[in-house]
Order: sequence, then structure tokens, then C-alpha cells
Amino acid sequence: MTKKSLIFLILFLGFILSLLLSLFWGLEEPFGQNPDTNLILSVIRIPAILKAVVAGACLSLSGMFLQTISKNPLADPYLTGLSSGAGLGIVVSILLFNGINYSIFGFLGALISAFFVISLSGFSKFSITKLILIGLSLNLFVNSVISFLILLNPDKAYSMTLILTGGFSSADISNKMLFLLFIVLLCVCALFIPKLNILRLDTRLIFQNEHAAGKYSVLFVILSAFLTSLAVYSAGILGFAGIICPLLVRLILGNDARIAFFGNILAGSTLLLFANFISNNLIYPVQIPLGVVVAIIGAPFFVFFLLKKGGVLLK
Amino acid sequence: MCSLLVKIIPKFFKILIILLIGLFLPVFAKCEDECLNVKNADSHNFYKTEKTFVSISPAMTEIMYALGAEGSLIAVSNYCTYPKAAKDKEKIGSGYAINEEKILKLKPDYILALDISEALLNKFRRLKITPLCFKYPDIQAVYNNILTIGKLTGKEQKAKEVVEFSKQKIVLAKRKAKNEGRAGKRVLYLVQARPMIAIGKKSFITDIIEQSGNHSVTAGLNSYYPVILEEYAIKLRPDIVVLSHFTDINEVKKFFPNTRIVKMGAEQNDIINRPGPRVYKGVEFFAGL
Repeated sequence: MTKKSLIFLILFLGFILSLLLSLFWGLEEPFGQNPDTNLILSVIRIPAILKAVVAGACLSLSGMFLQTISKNPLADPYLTGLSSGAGLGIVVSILLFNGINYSIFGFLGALISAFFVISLSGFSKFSITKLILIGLSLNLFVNSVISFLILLNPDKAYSMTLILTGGFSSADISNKMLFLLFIVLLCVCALFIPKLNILRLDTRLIFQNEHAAGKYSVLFVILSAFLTSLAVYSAGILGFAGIICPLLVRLILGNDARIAFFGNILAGSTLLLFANFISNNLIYPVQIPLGVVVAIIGAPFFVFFLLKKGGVLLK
Repeated sequence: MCSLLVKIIPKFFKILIILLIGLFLPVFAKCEDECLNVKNADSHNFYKTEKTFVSISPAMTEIMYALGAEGSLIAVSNYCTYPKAAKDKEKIGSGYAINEEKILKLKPDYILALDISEALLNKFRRLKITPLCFKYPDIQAVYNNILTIGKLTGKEQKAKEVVEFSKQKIVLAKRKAKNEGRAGKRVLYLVQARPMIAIGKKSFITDIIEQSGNHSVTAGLNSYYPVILEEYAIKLRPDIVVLSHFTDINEVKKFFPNTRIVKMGAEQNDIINRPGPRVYKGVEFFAGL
């Protein structure tokens, strides 16, 4: 057994462990006829696990795409102004419709803002620097609008800040739809993954003209926008997971995008499952916001690996 | 060794002097402030006989009206909607977005607010406008607030009457619920469904529910508005779930398919969330469940 398959085995076991923990931890009789237990499993835990897997995989895949294209380890999935667009959608839905179906508004807001930023940075003369700067400006602009809206409505300020930190409690979305979208997106990503290996190199060396490189870059940016919007749809805005997971996978599995693809799916979902488990059980029955937990367990873990074997990143 | 010390010591001295100046600057500044305040105090309060108030909390506005002291209330927040006459008062913004310049122009003696606004209002102290930020952990504290405002406005007798009236109403409601066998229910009060926010020990709504003869199932949580797990709520097995007016009833029905769910109206929601003179109506609502 090679080293990489051993790492994959460990990742997979971690994934299964976190799955079982979040399913059965703290239930009195998991397979009994207790109506409470059945209700908890069917209405709360299974949808939450599904959402955690989808959000984790999407965030870390889209982080990997953007980090590879921009050749910058700091790139995160919300680079294209997505988080602010999603946030504005959520805040507006809370103000106008009392937060009914806010995840759909977040999803639409994310897609619209991403489309806006990508089209402004140009399809034919695409430049990743332009994309990053326009995304940054949009983020700053829309975030101040969000803060202003929150300050104007202090009666809903608490719930708005709470929802904006992200979590799996948006029980209204249809799980079948979510999973279908997820599978379709994964298939599309899998088709184009080999091209990502080429984009890792200096594009001027590989492609005949830069136009072709730009074409694939745009494709991956659009794919990552779809992936991140799906993550927003299922879990709200979760910072940090999308930066840390791809870097972690690069540290332990190397740079090959075809291998990192599967590594990212496993690592992303495992991270969010564990984070969800901790946020639910650390100070039971009070829930810690998921985004907070992700950063608290993610950051030390990442620094440890960086110091231990940071060769790939720090070259 | 010696030469090294000679080199280092002057540097340390410079840093030390800068630090000392930095330490004493605030002392000077403070001194100047106090002088200013003393000067202002004379001109400000000497000719005034009746104290004036500004309220940035709907509950405080209700108390002023209940005491018949609305004459000295010169401005209210945008959220002060009860009684109806309050809507015609001068407006000074709402919540965190209050218009500070307008308050300065109106020059009230006191700003009436709840304790959550304390950090925001403390700066007015320097201008001889005293922010009064009232705490309200339970119904008794609400009574104390009413009595305090009564003293400030010179309506002590009326304040005592309001408190006494409220106390009697609560006793009556409790007795009625007991006689009709409606007391002793386990109530789950939800501020919001997604994420699920309940009320903890520190919220005065918990006291309202307990006073009505029922029991709040989340009373053991040591917090104001804790975000609780949905499965914990299911395991608590409440008899009744009470929802605020903006929550979608279908979202909660999923978790409690066989439990009675009561959704409050907008006005009922205001009554229960405002620590004011209508607090007995909140108790009556829970006693009538």
C-alpha cells in the first residue's frame, strides 16, 4: 500500500467516524420505536448531515479551483463577491419576508453577485487580478450596506447576525433538490479536473495563446461560483473552511488536482461534520455558531500541519 | 560591557519619558473635563424647574404615559407606538441609529432606555444629560423601574397605583387559571425558529410565564436568549409551543407534530416583549393558554 492510499484510507475512516458520531451521538435508543428519536433523526440529524457533506465538499472544491487558478494560497470561495451577495440576499429576505426561505435568497444573491463580478472582469480578456480586485470592492461595498441595514433594524439585529454566521438549521430547503444539484455539479467538475493540472503551471508556457488559458480560467471561476452558491444554499456563509481545506489537502496529498479532487471532497465534509458535532454538543443544549467552531478547530490544526510539513506551500 | 550599557541606557530613558507623558496625559484631560462640567451645570439646571425626558425604548414611553407624565416627555423613538398619542411626539431615530444631534438640541435632563443601550448612551453623561438604563430581569424589577420613574417625574402616587393594579391583575389571572384547571402547563417560548432561539433564566419573559402559574421548559438555561438545539426542544416535550408573531408556524410544526402551537399577534408580541405597565397583560395571556 502506498503512502497516498494510506492517507486516503485515514481520511475515509475519519469521514465515516464523523458521520456515525453526528448520527447517533446522544440518542437513547437509536433503533428503537421511540417516536422522539425517529423525529430527531428524520427531521434534524439526517438533513443536517446531508447539508454538511454538500457544503463541505463544495466549499473546499471551489477553494481549490480558485487557489490553483490565482496561484495564491489566500484565495477563498467568496473571492468573487459571493459572501456579500449571499448576505444581502439573506438580510433582505429577513427584512421583507421574516426570513422564510432565506437560504434560497442567499443562493440567488450569491449567484447574481458572482455573475456580476465575472462579467465585469471580462470573458475574452479575463484576468484573475481584475476579478480579485472587483470582487474585493463589491464585498466591501455590499458589506457596508449590510451593516447599515442591520443597524437600522435593531429588533432583528440579533437574528440577522446569527443567521449570517452560517449553520445547518435552515430546515426549509428540499434535500432531494440539493443532492441532485450537488451530484450534477460534481460530475461536471470531474470532467474538467484534468485541465486544472495544466492551469497550475505558468500559463504562458503551456497554451499556444493566452486566450485558451483565460477560457479555462473563466470556466473554473464559474464552476466555483456555482459550487459556493450551493454551499450557501445549504449552510449559509461559512468563512474559513474554503481556505483551510484545500491547503490542508495540498499539504498531505500533494499538488495533483486529480487526487486532490477526491481528497477535498472527503476532507471538506469531514471538517464540517466534526464542526457541527462540536457546535451541537460542547455546551449542550446551547448551540455554538458553526462558523465560530470551524475557525476554532480549523486554525490550530492547519498551523500544526504547516509547521510539520509546509514544504509544498512554502516553496 | 560598560560601553554597551552606556549605549542602551539613553534609549531606555527616552522610552521611559514618553511612557510617563503618555500616562499623565489622560489625567490632565480628565481634569479639564470636570472643570467644564461644573461650569455647565450651573447654567444648565439653574433656571429649570421641571425635568425633561427623552425615551428611546417603547416600554419606557408606555410607563411615562401610564404615569400621566407625558408632558415632560419631549421626544420618543420610532418604535414607540403605544399608546397612539406617542406616535405624534418628536422622533429621534430608533435602536442603535438614534439621532444624537437632535437629542443635544432638545437638551433633556434624562434619556430613558433599557440596559442594552448603556454602552451607546454613556457619552451623554459628559454633556449633563443622564442616561437612565433600566435593568429588567423579572416583573419585580419592572415595578421598581416604574416607581423610580414615578419619583423622578413627581408622580409617585400614580406609580404606586399602577404597580398595585398590575399586582392585583396578576393575582386574579393566576387564581382564575388555577380554578379552571389550566395552570401547570409546560410552555416552550420561541423567539425564532431558525436558528431556534428560546428564553433563558435571565429573560423577564421567563418570569412572566412562571408568574402565570405555568412553567417555562427552558428556564434552566443560564442566559437571556440562548440558541438551543432543535432536538433538545423535542426532548423537552412541552405541552404548548408559543411563537413570536413573525415566525412561520409550519417550520415549527415539523418538530412538534402532535403539540399545540400558539402564534402570537403583533400586538401581543409587543406586550410580552416590553417591560412596561402592560406586563400584567402578558401574564394574563399565558394564564389563559
